Amino acid sequence: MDYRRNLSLIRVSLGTVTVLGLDLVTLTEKPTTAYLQTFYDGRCSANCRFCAQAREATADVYRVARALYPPYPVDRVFKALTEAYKKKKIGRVCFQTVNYSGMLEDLKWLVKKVRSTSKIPISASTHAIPRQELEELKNVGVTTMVIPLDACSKKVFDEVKGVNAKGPYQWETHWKALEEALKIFGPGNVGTHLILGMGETEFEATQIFQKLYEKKIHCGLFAFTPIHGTSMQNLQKPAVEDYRVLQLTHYLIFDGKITLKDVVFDEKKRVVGFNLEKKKLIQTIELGKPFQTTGCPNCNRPYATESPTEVYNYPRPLTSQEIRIVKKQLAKRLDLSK
Amino acid sequence: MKNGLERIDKILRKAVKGFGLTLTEALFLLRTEGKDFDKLIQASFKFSTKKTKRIIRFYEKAFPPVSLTGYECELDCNHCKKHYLMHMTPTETPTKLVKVCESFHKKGIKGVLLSGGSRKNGVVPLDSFLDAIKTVKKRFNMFIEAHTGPINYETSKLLVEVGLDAFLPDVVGDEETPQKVYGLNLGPKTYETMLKGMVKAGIKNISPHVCVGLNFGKVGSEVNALKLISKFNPTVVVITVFIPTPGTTMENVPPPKPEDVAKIIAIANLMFPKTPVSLGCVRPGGTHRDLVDRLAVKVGVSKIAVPSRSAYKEAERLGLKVKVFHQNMCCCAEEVEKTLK
Repeated sequence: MDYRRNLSLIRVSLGTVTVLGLDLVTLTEKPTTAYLQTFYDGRCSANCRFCAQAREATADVYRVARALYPPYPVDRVFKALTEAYKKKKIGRVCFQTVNYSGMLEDLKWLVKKVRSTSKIPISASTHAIPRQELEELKNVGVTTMVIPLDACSKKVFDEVKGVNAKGPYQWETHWKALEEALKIFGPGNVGTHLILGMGETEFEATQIFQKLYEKKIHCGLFAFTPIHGTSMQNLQKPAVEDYRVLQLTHYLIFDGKITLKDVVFDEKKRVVGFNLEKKKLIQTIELGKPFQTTGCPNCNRPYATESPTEVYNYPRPLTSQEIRIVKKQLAKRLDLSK
Repeated sequence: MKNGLERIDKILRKAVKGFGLTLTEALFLLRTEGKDFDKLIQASFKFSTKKTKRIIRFYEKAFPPVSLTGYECELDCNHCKKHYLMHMTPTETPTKLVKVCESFHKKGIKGVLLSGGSRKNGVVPLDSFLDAIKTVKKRFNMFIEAHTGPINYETSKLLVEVGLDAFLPDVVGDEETPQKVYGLNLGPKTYETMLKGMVKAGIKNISPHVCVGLNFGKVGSEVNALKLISKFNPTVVVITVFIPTPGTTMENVPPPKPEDVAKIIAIANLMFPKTPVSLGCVRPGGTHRDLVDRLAVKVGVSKIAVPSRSAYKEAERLGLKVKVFHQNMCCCAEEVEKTLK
């Protein structure tokens, strides 16, 4: 038994700590999902270049993007979790995992433990795993399976997670696992994550949106966040204007309003417009919905990738003032004049 | 300044009668100098003799501290940088905690201080040791006290239920200090919620600690902290002094002036008419300690942890009766004191 495994502890995001009432922390935006991560007293065996927990990173291991995940006793967390779900403070629990040998057993044990006391929807996010493991996860109680691609193209994938990053992951295997998960969990219950701003073109991102939409895989969008102590610490965050355009494209595609063919690109493969009535487009923007956090139902992950001064994903419906800000940001890239 | 003189007399006259101090009065006292400062010392000493009946308590050895996080700390604050964890016995697992406490018990030590590094949010992970605390309490009947960090009502309640005897929370009176020193977004409101939760949880002893000069040597918010504490009914108010520790970010920050420490003790003394004020074990050594100790006795502190020679001398000069505890004993554990001869 690996002494670094410890099933009496689990990492809990600081926002979740507040909602579950574990410690005193003040927050302006409350998460609607409980974000947990398997506890491992060591580094991940993979080496994704953007991640604080990567094998060769020197960053603090209790970070996931901007969020902090201090460890807490499992019993306390799960007790509070059951109660918070009963009181409708949270609508989902999300297990994130670090890759180490024995992780899946730990994950199954944790899921089983939650399932034994609560009917709360459970998301599990892992690397690509074999069909049998997916089935077992479903059997112990996982309702939504997330296999993060993170990258929008094979090239970027190999660069940040795969062979060039000295990581064990492969683009094809991840897709295969997603397909398997679709068969086991059913369409709508499988998701992935994409980190925007790691060197992909907007065309590649749009292509992936279309492919995921066709396969009925939902997708959580993240803005790349440089973390000190990782090998990508010097890469800039994507400009918020560019991120907004992709959020809008993502929404339009996943809402079935347009397909890849309807998106107009320039020679640099940047989005310049949509084959869509301008009135409809502005209406969609004014909904504000395209700019809210995407992913599993009930997931809002406040300030996961943003600082309070620069918001990329809004954790709740936007206020009219925020919609005005977003419109201004979009106007720098798209022609929104009537 | 005729007006100033009148004001200090008024404030001190009122305070000596046991009516406490308002925040503005306390801040005014913090600014006193020269003759006014002497007046403050005299008034505070006179007032304290009523409280302590001219007995001052000296604690030569504290309860042994243990670190629940070993030599690790996720927070790694500017004033400590894990330095003080080296002085503690590491007990990073529950089993180890029970074993270490057993060894203390065999040596005849009556209490233990649970401390350590903290999680990234400033909380000592006491909730991972609930069963161990229960076991220690049951098997060795030790006095168990704990440094907490900003815990909430639920955690306080769990700890009280397993038999913890005392909370030793640090209280800071402004938002700037935690931000600059701990890198945490804490404010007086959080500390108030914490203290409220601790009282509601039904803890027997609560000994808030106020560290003078923690804000990079600047003194001022300590008074706000004391005022905040005065809303609750603490067992004892502990004043500690910031130590510029070599190897930390704050190694070159000068410690607060001994006079300022004395003023804070005097203010605490007058603000809490019924509560003893203690000079805690954490304070700089050498000449600074001599000066602080002497002034502390002069302004009528009720207890001193690990006193220096100057404290003994000053107590003798003032004709105070000194009660010395040579065995391991914490200034925060009044009930254990009563069981000792």
